[in-house]
Amino acid sequence: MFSRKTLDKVNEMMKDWEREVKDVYEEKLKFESPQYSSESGIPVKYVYTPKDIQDKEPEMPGAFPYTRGNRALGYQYMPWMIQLLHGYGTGEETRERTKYLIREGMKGYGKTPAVLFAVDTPTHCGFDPDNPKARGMVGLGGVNISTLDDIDTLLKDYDLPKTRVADNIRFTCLPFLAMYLVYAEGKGHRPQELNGQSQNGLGNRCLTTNLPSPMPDAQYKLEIELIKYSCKNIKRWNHTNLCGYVFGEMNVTPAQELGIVMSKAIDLVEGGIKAGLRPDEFVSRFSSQVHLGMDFFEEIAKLRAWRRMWARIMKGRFGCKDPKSLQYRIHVHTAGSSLTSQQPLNNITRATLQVLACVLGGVQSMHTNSYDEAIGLPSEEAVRTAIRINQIVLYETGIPHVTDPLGGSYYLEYMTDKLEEEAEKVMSEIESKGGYFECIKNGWLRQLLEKQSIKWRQEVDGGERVVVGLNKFKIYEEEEVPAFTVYQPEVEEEAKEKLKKWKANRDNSKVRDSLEKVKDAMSDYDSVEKAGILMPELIKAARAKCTLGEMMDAIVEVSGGRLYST
Amino acid sequence: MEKNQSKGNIKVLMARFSLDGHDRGLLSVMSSFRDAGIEVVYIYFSDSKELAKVAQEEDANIIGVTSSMGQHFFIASTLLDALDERGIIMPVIMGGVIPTRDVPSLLDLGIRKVFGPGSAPKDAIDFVMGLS
Repeated sequence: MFSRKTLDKVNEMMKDWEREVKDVYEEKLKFESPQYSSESGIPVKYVYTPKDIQDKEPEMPGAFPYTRGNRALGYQYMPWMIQLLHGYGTGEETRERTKYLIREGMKGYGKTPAVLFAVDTPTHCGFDPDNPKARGMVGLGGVNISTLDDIDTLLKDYDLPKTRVADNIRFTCLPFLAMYLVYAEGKGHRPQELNGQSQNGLGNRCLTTNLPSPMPDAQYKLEIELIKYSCKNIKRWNHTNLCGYVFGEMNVTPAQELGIVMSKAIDLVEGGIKAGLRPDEFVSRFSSQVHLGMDFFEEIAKLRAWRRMWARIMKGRFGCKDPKSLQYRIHVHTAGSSLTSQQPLNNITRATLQVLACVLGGVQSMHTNSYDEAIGLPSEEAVRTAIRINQIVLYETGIPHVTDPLGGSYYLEYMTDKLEEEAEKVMSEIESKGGYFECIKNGWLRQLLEKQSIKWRQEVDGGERVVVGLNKFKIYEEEEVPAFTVYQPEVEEEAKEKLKKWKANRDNSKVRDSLEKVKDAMSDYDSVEKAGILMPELIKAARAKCTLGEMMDAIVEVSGGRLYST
Repeated sequence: MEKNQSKGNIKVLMARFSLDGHDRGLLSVMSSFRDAGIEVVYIYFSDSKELAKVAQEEDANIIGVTSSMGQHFFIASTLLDALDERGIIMPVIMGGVIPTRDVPSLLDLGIRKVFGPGSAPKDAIDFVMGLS
């Protein structure tokens, strides 16, 4: 990238610089130079020069391998989506929160409203509100969904084909998708008209937030089933969210996050191929949720390396030709784990730096955490402030006017290459142990996550890692931040009442029959080659008014039950 | 009962409600407990009665429960009732994401101590060590 002459000149200048550091700082001032390294353990020098990137080929946005951006134009043509995951209490409360967020600026691409809703843990696991196992948890952390009525409560104000519907459901993605399709059908819409996304990340969800999940073999089959079905029937549906966020929250390093997610993508693409799909049919419909922590430059480097690594794998390994398959669209969730409950307004500063890193890294979409999220669910004021961070960066700073503005920075380019190298090592290690899903089964991944989160805590307790307000710059009288409260017992009672009425108004013999057929289909679905046989039965079951929990129970009954802890 | 009388043999029953998947804090605290020579038994439970039963069987010195999704009152009240029903007198401490304004009410209910976000594991270790 540089002429011989330039590099020679740099060599000369470097010698002067090194001499000054040695003579003045080290010898005269007795400065003991600290050794820095990035979160991923990459040593960081004090200064970078053209020599650090002398072998690099020039790159442009919109061209393979897309390090600098997927398209020729970035935010000049299309600002990032401001999408906030939200949901709590009753469907009505969640619907009101959605409206509030849209009014304040939450949006999908163009004019499409985005409804990105969180569900409670009983819904994640497939325990209906009348199941004793759901007791005490209905409506916490998200809205409860067990029937088509519950979906109607959330979505009745939206024109579905013009709405991006994205749930964050963990294990019950398939029953929920079946219910959503039947709900849309009732409104006169065919599956092909719909757009949105499923999480479809059963594996990583049981590794991180440790909830009762289907068995690992069943997890893989259910994920492939959703890919196959949506690829054939709902072309605009983003079937799988390749979620690195949950790993980041367990304190894996940026390089580990990237390596783990790529190894998962490889397993899923291979599964899709076994299920009879061509990679170009479904690779472009992977979506993402990347974790964005506090190591500013390394995080920007990660976003750039992410796109490049994806493009190289999908082209080189899977022979994808469609540019869309090679362009990784990034949605970021700013790091919840970086927030502190102490001096919570400091979290606005953290989120601002994270939003800035995202914009400099060229992401397509962002969830920005609210400052009070270490204390509980966010208040309206806090969530509005989170949206405003995005709007201030977008409209007041001029930062989005130039695509990949740090491209060519000696440091950032060097870091991007190094980060990719480190991530490749992690990916190879997982592959050498049988791949992502095998590493869930054999416990290797869970052990890594536990080790990382304990290490983080020890560093904080030992003071080697500074978290402002938590282990340094503490104040003695902590200000009280009002915590947002869900009146859980009332929400649970209401949900149980509604469910009771729902069950009284259906043909229970039809329910039983269709659940038997779900079980039969799941039993027959003994290898991913047969993917595609389960979803039609789930759709029929949803039409027969089966609940989310009933469908999930049918699935797990014939696939080894639920795994309670990894 | 003998093992409970010396400091080196304190046994803590750590518990997580199975539908609250947040166990990062819990893992760190357990690791610190073990490093401090405290015996740790870890279970997840879906019913407080189940937890009370295990506490009795394990003959623990103390129960530590985590709550990060706002179910702290539900767990505190059902667990303390379940312990009462079995006639067990065993201190219960809580950790996780618990708003400070809820702490006095939890203490009123009978929870011995609440370790919210940002508490140092040392605080919990000192508390547990101070029991015997």
